[in-house]
Amino acid sequence: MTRLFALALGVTLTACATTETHRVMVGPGAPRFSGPVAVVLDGAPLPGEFEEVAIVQAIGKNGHDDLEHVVEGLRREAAALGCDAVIRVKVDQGSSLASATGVAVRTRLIGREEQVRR
Amino acid sequence: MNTRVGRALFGVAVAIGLEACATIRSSSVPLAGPLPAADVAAVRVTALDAPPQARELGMVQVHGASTTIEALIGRFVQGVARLGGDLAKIDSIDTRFEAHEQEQTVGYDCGTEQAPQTCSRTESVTIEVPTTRVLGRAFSSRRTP
Repeated sequence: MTRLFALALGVTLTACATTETHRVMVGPGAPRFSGPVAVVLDGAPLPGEFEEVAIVQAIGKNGHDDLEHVVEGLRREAAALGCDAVIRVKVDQGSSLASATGVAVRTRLIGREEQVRR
Repeated sequence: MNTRVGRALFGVAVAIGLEACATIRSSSVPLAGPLPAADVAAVRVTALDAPPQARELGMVQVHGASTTIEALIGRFVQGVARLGGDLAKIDSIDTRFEAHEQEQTVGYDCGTEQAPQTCSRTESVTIEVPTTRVLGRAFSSRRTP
């Protein structure tokens, strides 16, 4: 019985580990971007030319309250909006929660790659 | 009522109660002469630089516990529109975490095999609450006459 309870508790805790993402659109979205999404921390030099698409946020809970999961959440959200970079990324860390925000952008590089494909 | 269903309903009620407590507070400081309020739908949001010709109208801050950027930025835009702005420039988004004590009712078995019974007790639990703040400025991109 105790083992079953421990197993159930383990499953429940694993199920509670989530990274939820949010977005506020500030520019036009585009079809999903399948390449690597660059991450530029707040204060770091910005890529040359880019188009602002959305303000994005990722919140990691329980087992996902770390840098890896929230940055991955930002990347996932940006890619879904057709963006190839998240700039001005800022991470706030709690003891059981982590929050990251950034600006999802589409750099001129994507436009050039699309032209080459055509 | 089945005890398990009762506990589940209680949990849902607590969750709804916590969500209802997620209030957003907004404040603003005008830095230019008063302008008539603008249409919220006409306000554009940016986290990048405001155009050089845009006129700064004031500072706007919104914050709330356990809320989302969608809700916060929505209120931020309302604050910008109240100052007469049509451009909401977000300067920073910060989240702070605080430990809060919360009372919670827990059910436990207190009967015997012959006479099963469920009792309840109140426990104090510590939960981490994120408070997010959006700070920025209201701009007018309209040309001054």
